[in-house]
Amino acid sequence: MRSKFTWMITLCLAFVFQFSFAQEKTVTGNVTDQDGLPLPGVSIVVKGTTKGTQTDFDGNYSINGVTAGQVLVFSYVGQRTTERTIGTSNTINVQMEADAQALEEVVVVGFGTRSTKKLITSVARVETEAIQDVPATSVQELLQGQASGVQFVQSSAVLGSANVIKIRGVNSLTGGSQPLIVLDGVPLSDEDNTFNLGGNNGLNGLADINPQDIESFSILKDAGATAIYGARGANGVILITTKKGKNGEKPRVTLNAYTSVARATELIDVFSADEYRQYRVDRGTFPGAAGGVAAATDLPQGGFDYVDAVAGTGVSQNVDLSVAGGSEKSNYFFSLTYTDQESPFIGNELQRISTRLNVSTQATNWLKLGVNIGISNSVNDRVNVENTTFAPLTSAYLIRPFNEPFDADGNFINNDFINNQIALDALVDNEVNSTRIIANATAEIKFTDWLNYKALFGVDRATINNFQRTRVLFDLPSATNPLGGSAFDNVARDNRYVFDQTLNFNKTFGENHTVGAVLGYSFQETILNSISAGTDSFISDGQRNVTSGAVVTTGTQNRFERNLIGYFGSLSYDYKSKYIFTATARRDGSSRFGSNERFGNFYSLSGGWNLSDEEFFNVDWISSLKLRATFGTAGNDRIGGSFPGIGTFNNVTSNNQAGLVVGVADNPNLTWEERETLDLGVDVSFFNNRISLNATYFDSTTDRLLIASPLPAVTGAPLRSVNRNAGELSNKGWEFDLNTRNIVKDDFTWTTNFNISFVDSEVVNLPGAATDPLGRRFIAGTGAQRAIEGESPNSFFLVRFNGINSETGDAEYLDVNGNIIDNPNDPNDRVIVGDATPDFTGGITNTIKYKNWDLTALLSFTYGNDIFIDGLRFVEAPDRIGVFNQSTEVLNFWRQPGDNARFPRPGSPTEATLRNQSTFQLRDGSFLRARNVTLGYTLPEKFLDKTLFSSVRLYVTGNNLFIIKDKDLDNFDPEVTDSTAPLAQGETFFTPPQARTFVFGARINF
Amino acid sequence: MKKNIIFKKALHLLLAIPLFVATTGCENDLDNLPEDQLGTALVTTSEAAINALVVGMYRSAQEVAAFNGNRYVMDAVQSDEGVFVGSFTTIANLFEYIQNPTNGTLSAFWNEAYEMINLANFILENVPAAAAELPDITDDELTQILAQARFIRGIAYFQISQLYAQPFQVSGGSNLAVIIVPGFFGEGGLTEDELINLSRSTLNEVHQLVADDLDFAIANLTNTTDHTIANVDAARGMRARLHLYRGEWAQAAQLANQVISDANVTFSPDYTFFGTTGGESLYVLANDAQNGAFGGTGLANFANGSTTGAGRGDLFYSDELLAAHEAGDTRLTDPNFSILATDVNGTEERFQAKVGGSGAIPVIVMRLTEMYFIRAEANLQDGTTIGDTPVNDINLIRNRAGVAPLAAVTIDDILDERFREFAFEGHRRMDLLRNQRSLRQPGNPQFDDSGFGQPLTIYPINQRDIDLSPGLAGQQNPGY
Repeated sequence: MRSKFTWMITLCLAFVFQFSFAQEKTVTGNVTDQDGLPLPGVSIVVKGTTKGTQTDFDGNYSINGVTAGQVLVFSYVGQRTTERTIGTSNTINVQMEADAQALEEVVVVGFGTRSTKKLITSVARVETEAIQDVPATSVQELLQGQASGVQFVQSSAVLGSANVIKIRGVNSLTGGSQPLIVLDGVPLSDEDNTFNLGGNNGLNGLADINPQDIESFSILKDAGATAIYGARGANGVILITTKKGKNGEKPRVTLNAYTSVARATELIDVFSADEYRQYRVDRGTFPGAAGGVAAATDLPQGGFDYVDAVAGTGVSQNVDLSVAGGSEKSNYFFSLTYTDQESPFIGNELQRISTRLNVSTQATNWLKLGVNIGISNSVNDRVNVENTTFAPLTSAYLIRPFNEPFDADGNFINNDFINNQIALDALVDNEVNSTRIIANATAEIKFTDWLNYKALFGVDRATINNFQRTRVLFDLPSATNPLGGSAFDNVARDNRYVFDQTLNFNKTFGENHTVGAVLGYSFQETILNSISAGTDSFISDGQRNVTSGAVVTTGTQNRFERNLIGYFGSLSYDYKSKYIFTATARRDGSSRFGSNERFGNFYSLSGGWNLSDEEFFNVDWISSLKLRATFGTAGNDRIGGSFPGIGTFNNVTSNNQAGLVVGVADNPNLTWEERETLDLGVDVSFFNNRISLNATYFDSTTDRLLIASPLPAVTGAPLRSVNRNAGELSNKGWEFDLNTRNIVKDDFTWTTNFNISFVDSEVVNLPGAATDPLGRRFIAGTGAQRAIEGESPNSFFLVRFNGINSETGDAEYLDVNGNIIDNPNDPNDRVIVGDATPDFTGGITNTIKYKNWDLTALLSFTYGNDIFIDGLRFVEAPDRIGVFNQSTEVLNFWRQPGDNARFPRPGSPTEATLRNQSTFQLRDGSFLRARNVTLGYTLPEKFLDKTLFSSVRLYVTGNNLFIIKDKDLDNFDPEVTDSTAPLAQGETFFTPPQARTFVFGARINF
Repeated sequence: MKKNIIFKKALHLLLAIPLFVATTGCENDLDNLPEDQLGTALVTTSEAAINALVVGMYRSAQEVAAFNGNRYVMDAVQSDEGVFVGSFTTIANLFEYIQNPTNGTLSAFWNEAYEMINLANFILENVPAAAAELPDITDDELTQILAQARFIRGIAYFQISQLYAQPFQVSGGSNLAVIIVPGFFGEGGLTEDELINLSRSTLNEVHQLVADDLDFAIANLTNTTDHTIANVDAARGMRARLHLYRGEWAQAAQLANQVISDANVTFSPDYTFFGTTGGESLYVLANDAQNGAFGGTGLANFANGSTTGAGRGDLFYSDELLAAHEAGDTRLTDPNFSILATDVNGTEERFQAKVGGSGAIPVIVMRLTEMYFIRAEANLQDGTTIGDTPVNDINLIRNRAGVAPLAAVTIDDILDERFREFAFEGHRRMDLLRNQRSLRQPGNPQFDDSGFGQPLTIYPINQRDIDLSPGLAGQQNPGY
């Protein structure tokens, strides 16, 4: 390892130009820090030249070819830069001092970093400590509850399932509303390249990224921070930085291994076979009750507990090995992670192996080179979810429990229209095998102390193989499939490269005036290529692949290319770090945009004032106080597909001849959605930084929202609509991050991080959209949800359920005027009844360290949102008992006058109304979840004296230990979404609830 | 020395500029085009693409509410041919005469006709210039392409003028019919603003356009034996039907007679031609398993029995239609024509068997038998015997059905024969209306609403189009 590394450096050094000068001598010396300890990796440059060296592991250096009178500049991260003039002596020893300013935390922002003191835009950070013990399957879930302005919604416990991140609310209606995610400078593709197995999405597009490689997240929220990402910044930007080694650091080997046990919770209590039969007998005593029988013997006997069979316990293992370190001029980070996960649901497993190598080297004093490579392979044995009879949980709830999975001989049977999940697990393959490489190579050329050039070439290459094989029991022989069975294979290749270049200027004029500037150019190309083959009719279930099927059903290949060009720049100025100004501009062109609107210009202006630096500011208990304001714009390029503006003809066939018909009409004006944001904030800390608070008010308006405007039929356009940039949406709110260090003692510390965000979203106008009877324009997102002018973009729009009439036992509803009616089916009786957007969300983390013990508890919460559970129309629809099993809740039915029941009288004609969507299926989705509680114990060093280990920490983590929620949500997980579409939030058929997970792990350093 | 350093600094700075500039890309990289869907500019640049546009027209004609199954089903729902017992509100509303201008099933015919018309107009306006640049397309081939486009355009206008406008007999064709679109929509063609300001033309104006298109087709189409595409027999047949609908008896009889004597097909001896592209069809949609993906034959699924017919079992023979048959009529026994099957409620009823419930079965738009009917009716009305006598023509049809010949025929005999022969083929409604009769028979609850000239006997213009189009202000059909 070591020698290979040296070899690499030598190779780099081979490109260095050597310059020589006359009358030279050699100066040697030793560099130490403020405590007198040797400092390796200190950069020593002869001022005004490109000549330089670095200290070795012992802090020693030697530089030849220098002359008296020249000045040596010693610099090191976190130390104040020191200059020494070469005199007659050949030895110069230097003790460096910690630089208070340089020691300040540095935040990763777009195309650079910023010290927290000079940070005047809204950027949230999530660091290693906050995430290292969270046993996450995906990178995104690490963000829940961690920072203000970031709402994360997990869709289910199914491994790799898609999720939703909203930064400051929903910012698009019909376009995409997911943030841009950039990993080490490479904007990632989050294209959905996997099949929808129920629900409205495939898997999480970022499921291949190893969460354990992540050093930190920076979440760019306001236009001041996102404008530099131009047409992709409007939904916010998440910058992910992976772990790196440090120059001069001895190899640090870390092994983190854990085992976790996940248990399904929050399951609906449906009838057992005996209860089912008894309930139908009970119904038989009510005249006209559908599904009623005279005696249990009138029904099939036998029984099986499907819920128990499909939802149980999943055991997972994870081993993560990493080595970080560095030599004088180089550093590296290497990791290898293997994870083998089982969800609590039958047939759902995920294996992922990933490796990463991050290397950086100062090749010469003017050239720095780096490579970051992450490679992963995931194999996901998938299951269906939500509204399909192939989904384990949905089927287990709904299948009539007298159906047994096996016949008398022990063979699988599948004779209900709801599939036998036990057989399905054995006989249907649904596998995604994906390999992804995310890598970049960077070069940094230093022209002068104040000017450098950086180039980044990055790739994000994914190959995703979706494979499905359905055995004959689930795909019976038919006229077109004589032998039955089917296979389908799809290979999607999602290849992106990005080439970024920046010129970076940074210079302090005089003592006080610092000017920074970035000028950049970015090019990005993405090519999606998808090949599918499918066949039917297999001689044997034992044959796996497409080639064995006799009837070809699919043979397709598609390719799309999307390109992006951006020119950007920013200019910042500060006076003594006291008054800070930044201006940013970006001009972005995208091949997605219509030809008349191909380039968009985005900008931001930011200003900050470190009030506490003023002479007149004289408040002891306020340690720092900064006021900040930004205003600017960013765009959303997720306007659908690759060529939404180009008019096309579609290929068709007629009479086996190739034909063309009008597909999409030309739309050369179609372009980005644009978000304009005003941010006002204050960052303040009190009592020697024991309490720090960031408070931000934001007011953003997204206009040019994509709206499908209707076209008259005489256009002949098959869709009879055209997308236009017309609508307007407003999001405003408050964000607070409060960090307190409650107890700070040598062996006892307690810190609390609390964040909360309030977002108020309102649709301002929707020109061209449909109009409801009250004259309000709207866009229907789903049957239950619409964006209505003047209201939340996620308004639930349903008929109101008014309970069971205690005299008659009939279900009652309210019409649009509030009069009681008995049928919820008239669309004109729907009113706004709820909102899928929460009033506030947030999280609180408490960390307590006492001697060798540490305890971290993360609670996340959401308040004021509603959720819609569509599956209740099946499992709480008692007259469907003959077809679907029911929740035991339906036993709470009306029996006699005066009863206050939840369900109508069996046989009431209104029983069938429960099959229709109404507020009967709407629930309060507020919750407080104990997301992660970790207790760790670090072994005392004396135990490790004669071992290989330098530190050992044992820990136990409980995920989702408890959840506080509305009482009407018993047996349901309140965190639901079956779609990433912005107008379909907070809805589910049945969400496989998030598991309660216990993790036992050890983190060992060598 | 110092100079040297300054020089080097300057050199470094200068180096930065070319490094930066040389690597910035070209904005042409943003002009990506789809790699599989042809853009508007490309569809007329090759002979293959132009031919594909023509095929595309036939495919558009296969859309369910263009000439595929829906039309024939809806005709049966509105007239006295069928009984609808299904749960689909938009169809049930038509059956009960409570249709309204937002009924999406009714507007589909308008929508899909304009898709055909737009594509035909695109071909008519763009192909002549394109063909001039393409030596592979001869003048004759160009004429054939244009004639096919005018055939499709003509019959598309003809069909919607029957649905959305009162028949010629109400006011001599001076009533409003449909919108005549003077071109195609899109780049190089009409703009949305131009289109929304178009108004409805009169029935006579629309009929004139249909007549001109069909006359052009008749004059220029070759007499192909392939009746799944535009052909001169079908064009003449459609032109004869237009004459019949306008009471132009002599021309109707002459053209029908010409088809009978010149056509590539002959009168079929039995009913096995249903569901095929062969037999006596003059124009037939070549649906098959691969080419029926527009939704199969659409609503035909409703008119197939729920057991043997693999359909929903929602729409079956009315008592009036059954009662109109004489004993021994094979049209009630031949399974190629009609079958007994259970309806959605499990009751046994008689269902049509001409149009299958799946998308894989060809659907006849026009067949030779109609020419005998047209010739008979026109001759009877005009007192002529062009080609043959009315009674001979009707008896030819009766003979195939296994019923005794008539000694003489009246207009009622002809309409009754058409009722039986064309059951669920989409003729009944116009046969009644153009003869100034009620769509339903006396005693039916909708008898009054279904009377000749009554507002609800024709479809409303889609409210959506009225709302979007200033040109349609005040032009909704009366009664809606």
